[in-house]
Amino acid sequence: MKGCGKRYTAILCILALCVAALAGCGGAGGEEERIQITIGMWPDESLAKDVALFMQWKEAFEADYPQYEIVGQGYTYNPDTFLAKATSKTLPVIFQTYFTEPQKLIANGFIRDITDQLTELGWYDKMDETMRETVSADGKVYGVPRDGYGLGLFLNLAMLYDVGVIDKAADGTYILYDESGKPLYPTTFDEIYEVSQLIVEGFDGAYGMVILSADKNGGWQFANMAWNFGCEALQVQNSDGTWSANLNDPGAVAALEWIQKMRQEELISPDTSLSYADWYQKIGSGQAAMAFAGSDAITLPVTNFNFNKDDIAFVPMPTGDGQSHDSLFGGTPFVFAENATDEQVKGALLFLKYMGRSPETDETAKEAMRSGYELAQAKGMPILPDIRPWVNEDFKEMSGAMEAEFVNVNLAYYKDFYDTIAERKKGEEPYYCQDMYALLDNALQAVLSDPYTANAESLLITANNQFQSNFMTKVK
Amino acid sequence: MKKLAEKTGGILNFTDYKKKSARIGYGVIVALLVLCVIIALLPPVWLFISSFKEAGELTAVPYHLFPEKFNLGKIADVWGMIHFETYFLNTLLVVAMAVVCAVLFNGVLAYALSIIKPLGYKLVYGMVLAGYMIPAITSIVPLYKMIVRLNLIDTYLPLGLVFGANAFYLIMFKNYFDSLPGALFDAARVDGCNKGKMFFSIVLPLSRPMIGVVSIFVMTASWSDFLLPYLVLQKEKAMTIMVKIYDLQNTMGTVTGFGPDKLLMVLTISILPQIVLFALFQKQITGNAVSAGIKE
Amino acid sequence: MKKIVGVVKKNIGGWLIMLPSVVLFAFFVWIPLIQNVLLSFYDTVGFEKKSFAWFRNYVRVFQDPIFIKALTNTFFYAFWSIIIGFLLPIGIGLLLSELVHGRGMFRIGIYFPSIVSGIAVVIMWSYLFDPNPGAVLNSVLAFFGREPSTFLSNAKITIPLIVLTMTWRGCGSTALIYLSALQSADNALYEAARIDGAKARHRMIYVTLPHLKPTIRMLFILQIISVFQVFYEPLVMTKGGGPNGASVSMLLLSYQYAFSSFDASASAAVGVILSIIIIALTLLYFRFSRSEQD
Repeated sequence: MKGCGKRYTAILCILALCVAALAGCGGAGGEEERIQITIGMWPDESLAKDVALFMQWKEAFEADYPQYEIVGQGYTYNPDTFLAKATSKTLPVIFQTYFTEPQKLIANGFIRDITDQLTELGWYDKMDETMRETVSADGKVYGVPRDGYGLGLFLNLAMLYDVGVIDKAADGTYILYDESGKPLYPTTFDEIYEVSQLIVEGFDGAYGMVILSADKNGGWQFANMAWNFGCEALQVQNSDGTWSANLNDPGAVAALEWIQKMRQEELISPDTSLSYADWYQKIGSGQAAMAFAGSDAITLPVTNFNFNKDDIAFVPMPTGDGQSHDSLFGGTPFVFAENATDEQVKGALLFLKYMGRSPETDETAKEAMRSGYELAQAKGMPILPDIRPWVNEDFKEMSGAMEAEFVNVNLAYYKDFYDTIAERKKGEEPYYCQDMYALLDNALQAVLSDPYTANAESLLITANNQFQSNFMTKVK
Repeated sequence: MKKLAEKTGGILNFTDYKKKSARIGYGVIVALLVLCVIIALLPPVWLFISSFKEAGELTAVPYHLFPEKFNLGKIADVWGMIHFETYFLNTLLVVAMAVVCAVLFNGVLAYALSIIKPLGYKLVYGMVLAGYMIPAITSIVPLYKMIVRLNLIDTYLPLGLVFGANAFYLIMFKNYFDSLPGALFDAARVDGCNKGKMFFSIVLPLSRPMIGVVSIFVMTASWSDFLLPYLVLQKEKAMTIMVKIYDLQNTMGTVTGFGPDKLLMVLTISILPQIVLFALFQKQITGNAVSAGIKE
Repeated sequence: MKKIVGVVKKNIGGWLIMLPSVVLFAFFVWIPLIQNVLLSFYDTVGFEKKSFAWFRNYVRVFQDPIFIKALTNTFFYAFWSIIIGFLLPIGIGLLLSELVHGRGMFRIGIYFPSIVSGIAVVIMWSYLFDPNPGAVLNSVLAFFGREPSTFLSNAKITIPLIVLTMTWRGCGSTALIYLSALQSADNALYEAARIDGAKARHRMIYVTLPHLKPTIRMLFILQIISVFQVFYEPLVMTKGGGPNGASVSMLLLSYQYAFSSFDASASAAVGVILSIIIIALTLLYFRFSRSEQD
């Protein structure tokens, strides 16, 4: 049995190699002296031009602040994997999340307070108050909004023109208003219903409208619809300070019944798994003529589906009760990992300036903003006005001038939305928004799955009871 | 029809096939199987064809099966966007580790339980059996916490090692070892081989067919393993192909230029290496070996 | 004392050999299982235990309507997977074993879906199950003059369709296991049956099926275990178990509690309940198969 030993050693060697290979994976060298700032919004390497721009920003920043080192650590916020990442303390110093998330992240202690650093930089008072509130708790600020969005109605003008809803001028541009200046595009849910009928008759395989129904995106847009059907709020505070769920408000029921009617008459897709990634896909491929979308996402059908940017109009949210035109307002905030140091936070904030995302208006900031626009221009993206988080006059002036130079769409198609958003914007409901949206998703899915027998009111009562007992009772 | 006339075993045999009705029956059998093969192959074929469609074509009405043109460049485009080689290599590494771990750790333990039988082996075997039916991921939170505490996030170690603690493979090995003649081991003991040597010089070579069976099981299982890799591999560079595909479909709305048409191409590309592997090991995979382990 | 030393000396080699594997089992199976049971009796913040909660988490979970849905769905999954996923491979295995022409080709064709990885399969089928009337499978239905279906969006057929997808992938490899079991049957038995003049039906009942029984029993258990592990199929195909919870599974719910609601204790409670169900079913099964053998 001489072979015994040899084989034994050979296998041990293989194992040792395996272990060595593994150990090799884990290690990462780095210079100790410089403070590392990991940047979560770093673009994916497949987007070479974007990476180049970030590298340019990184170099400029590190030249001015040699004590820092910027490290790209691309991270797309995803509620499913967030807890995993937070527990393992592998979050980047600064990363983007949804506007809906900060309260949950603050409550669980996953992101840190940056009030002192903001005050020190003098940025605190320059931030839009509505936006600041959404990233604050107990008077402390936990994030910096990148930009804001308001929900609005996205229109495929070519389709609307084909079915005769809107007109065309001699120069080929669309006419969205009649002689008296009244909009020809739908401004009420009833009008959406009528236009949808025309679309479905006029186009094979197309629906009038996209209604989202999954991944909490359905509930998110539904909240806005409920408001516009006359629901004051989906969460109300009682006189004793406690909070009550109000998901079965008559406004919400009317909104759900409207969706049910649309589904019964096959004016919307029966798909119960549509999420935010789907609206621009349906729009981009001509499967629907209208969709609700955030003002920051309008370009997606163009960039991903070669949708003609001259066929886009973005108009205010329609009304169901004849007067409410609220637009759900939110955006993408930058937040900071709980284990980031003061120094890291400060460095990360300063880096925002080099990205053109700060309230600063010096040459560096201006140059950064310009380079961002130039990249968008080079990529052939439609450039629209942005809803900015900073409200200091010099910043507004700078960004206004920049927009005047770079915006490349016909602003007439967006005018109504941008003119009214300031007065119609409405922040999200205060508590457990994502959980509320999930429950609303369920009600939506039930109506879509079973349109002829589902009872909208009882579905919302069920959702309301669940939300009340599982979440609203936790609010103190 | 000669073959039918020679068929002696099975439910229908050559005497039956003398009757016309049985021959029609055989025709039905063949037809049913052809139908099965069609059902098995059509979806991947559909996927392959559809992945060459442009974004808009995918949902065009009325439905048309074929894309307007087969642009082979799309494969290169998508590959350029996704860098498959990284994810394939990662996956291969995980699969290789899983196979090594599954064979080594389950095999060694089975050897101890079946042949060495040290004091307390019944207790260990009992505990293994107790956890047999319960999928490990029912206790995902504590497991995940331990992995985090040991700093094993973004490493492949837990993904490989988890296959080393699998009651199903262990029992397969144990049953196999139980069936080996005991005299072999007595002879080895007389020759002075110690327990460790005996495993590598006698048990391993003898259990080659069993190792083959377990390896094939583990390969399929770890290639498709999802939840643990999804939670453990968070760095994009470290992802396996399964995790990357899920990640791509999840972030489809946020990544510019990546739509469903590209996702379908990603799926097509992800299947290709498996087809190659399958072609290479076709005999072993579909052959009798697979079932050897199932028999009691 | 001497005795103890003796015992240690005799067993130390065996213990050392078992040690690495036992450590792995402890790390991946036993410790998490025990900790999970503990976790389910505590209030948690994030993933950390805070205070003892008695049975509060269980009460809470049972009051959550989505849990009741997951619980009933689990049995629907099991039912459909027995109807579709368990019987179909037996049938295909039998057909294959009766085949004498081109068996190799058929074997490859039928096995093919098993080589496609799980996530790829479910994403592919979610595209095939496009609910729009003009989409691929609805065009096929229209060709045969049938009404369009909304597939996964129709809560009544969501689970069967998911099981169908799982079966499409797993059926071939299972059928091949039956096939090789059938091929290992003793031909003499068939010969004897033939000479005795047994009809084909009788040969199947008295020769083929008894021979297949151990394999059937083994694969039945595997089928049940795998159906209780349904997780990423609804996660991907119905975006987390829709419509309105019609396809949510217990494992998926446990995952959602932990990783999207940050509620580790509810997740642990669901995991424990699922484990209890599986253990109960196993015991029941062994009970039956034992009394059958007596």
